Amino acid sequence: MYRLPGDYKLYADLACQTPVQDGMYIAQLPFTPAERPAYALENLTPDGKTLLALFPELARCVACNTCTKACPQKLEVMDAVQSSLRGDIRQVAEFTFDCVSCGLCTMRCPAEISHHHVWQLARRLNGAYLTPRAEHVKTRVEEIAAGKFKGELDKLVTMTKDELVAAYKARQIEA
Amino acid sequence: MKKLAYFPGCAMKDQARPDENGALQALAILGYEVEEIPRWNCCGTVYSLAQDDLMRHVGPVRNLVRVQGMGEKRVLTLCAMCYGTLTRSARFVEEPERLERINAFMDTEDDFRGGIEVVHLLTLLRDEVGYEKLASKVKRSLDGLKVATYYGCVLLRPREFAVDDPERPEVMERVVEAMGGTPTVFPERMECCGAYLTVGRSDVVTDRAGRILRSARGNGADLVVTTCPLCQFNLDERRPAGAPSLPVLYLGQLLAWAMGVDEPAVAALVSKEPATGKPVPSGV
Amino acid sequence: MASELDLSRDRLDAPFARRVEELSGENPYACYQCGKCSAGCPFADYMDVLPNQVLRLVQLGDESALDLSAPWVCASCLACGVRCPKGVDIAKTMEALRLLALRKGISPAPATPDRPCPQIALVGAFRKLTP
Ligand code: SF4
Ligand code: SF4
Ligand code: SF4
Ligand code: SF4
Ligand code: SF4
Ligand code: SF4
Repeated sequence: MYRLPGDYKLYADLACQTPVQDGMYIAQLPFTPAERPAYALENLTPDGKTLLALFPELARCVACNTCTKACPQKLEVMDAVQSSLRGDIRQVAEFTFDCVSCGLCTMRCPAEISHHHVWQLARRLNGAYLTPRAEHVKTRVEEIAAGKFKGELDKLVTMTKDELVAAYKARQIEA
Repeated sequence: MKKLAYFPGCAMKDQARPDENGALQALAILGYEVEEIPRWNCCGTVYSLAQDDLMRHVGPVRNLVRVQGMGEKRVLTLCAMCYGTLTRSARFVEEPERLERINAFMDTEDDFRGGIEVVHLLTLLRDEVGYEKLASKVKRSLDGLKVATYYGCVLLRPREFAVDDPERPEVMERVVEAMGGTPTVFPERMECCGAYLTVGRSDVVTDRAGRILRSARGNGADLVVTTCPLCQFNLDERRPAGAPSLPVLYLGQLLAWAMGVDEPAVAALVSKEPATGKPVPSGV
Repeated sequence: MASELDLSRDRLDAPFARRVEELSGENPYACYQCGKCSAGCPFADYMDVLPNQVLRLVQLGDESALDLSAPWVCASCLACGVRCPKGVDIAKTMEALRLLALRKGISPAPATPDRPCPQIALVGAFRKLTP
């Protein structure tokens, strides 16, 4: 958190990414305490009811947009809260993909929402229930389990260093 | 096609989906090109009644700024409660000092200049579409269905923002008639269901729901129609054991069905009577 | 609640009444206690004190009005305001009492949802019942 001389705004940024400026008045925040109830992903449904049941304080949002202004990742935090309210899990996951869970939005929010925990849940729900399965990965895992590549792997293990270097240099690179 | 900016509100994207689906299809049939306003936020559901609580008007006003940004002069709502917060907040911040403060606070937005009209689906049907035109688009008459028109509070109170006479409203009844239904006027149609008390005092809301449903049924209704997602939830989900089981549907659902759009909840209520081809109530 | 009648002039301009008036924008002294508001209030049965009595306490500058259950049971349905012959919007007085209580740290039992509630209910409840 910092202020700059002659500027009424209270800024929030990540220390690792923010250059020091003349007259900067800084306080470092270790963390923002935030409530995260326990849940078992496999028992949840990917909808707004789930988010509201675990984080009812979402409904306290007054659309002040303070969270968006505080976010060092420049995310549309308020819009993510709004999407949570209407149960649009996929949109929440997309809005918050780059969230670093710094908790700065949570620190500033007058509605006392624990944003980053909601985001994490939304991304988990999105990944577990709403994103199409990657079928080719499944096929490949099955092939590996079935021993399709066993011969080649065994060969790799027995190679000498020089053979490995030569094989590495001669590898095919996907375009 | 007539362009119309539209503020859905959260409920329309969640539990009140059938209302939105139905209403938007009906509006398309009536010649409206409805455009959802971009990046809208929750209107706050309840209007803040205090003089100094400006923060609680930020939500509704931010939405009005979006309407302004679309170059539109008015915005449609389907939800009764959205209608209440948007109309009342628009008026509240007309006062110059409040407007200045709220604009200074929302420094990431364009200044709100006021002058946005908020219309509810019911007033649109009455004042712009007209009951005759509405009736002319009806493909399947609701003939035989007795529809209890439940207004609740926000549509009628306070007086300055009422969609109709707060003590003797008739707009919803006339819309039902235009669809060929028979409106059931019952005393509780303007009485509150308990609204947000449903969160901490579901006992009170259960009593209210029972009373409203018994009155509707007692006056002969086959179903209840409402435009408020909270009324719908309270009457349906807080229905006490033993209360009449009549369905509580949204206006959008009835409109869609009457205009020939697929609407399973209404279809389940009516079955074709072979001789007349008229729908008759079934299983209520 | 006041246990004895004190009808001095001072009581009719109590700071508490003025504070409620400021916050609600409604003059509590406009009420002449006809009781029409209470007769039409769908929630009067669940209140400890009737809506007109709430107004009376405010008129008397009695801060015990902040400890009543009535403002928390009021659903802001505005039925009272439409019927009041004196044009008092009692719902605004109720809101002012809720806010004064909340700002003092007095709040009703925590609004934990009785059963799953849709967002429209939660948003409304939190706005009216939490600080
Ligand atoms: S917790 Fe996430 S959303 Fe909130 S400010 Fe930090 S990065 Fe932004
Ligand atoms: S800071 Fe909190 S109340 Fe304000 S918009 Fe963000 S989530 Fe909503
Ligand atoms: S009143 Fe309800 S539907 Fe309208 S925006 Fe608010 S929560 Fe959503
Ligand atoms: S009856 Fe209840 S839910 Fe319906 S409009 Fe009135 S307050 Fe809202
Ligand atoms: S109806 Fe009006 S004048 Fe009569 S008691 Fe209620 S507030 Fe007072
Ligand atoms: S606004 Fe409150 S006091 Fe007035 S009638 Fe409704 S519930 Fe009763």
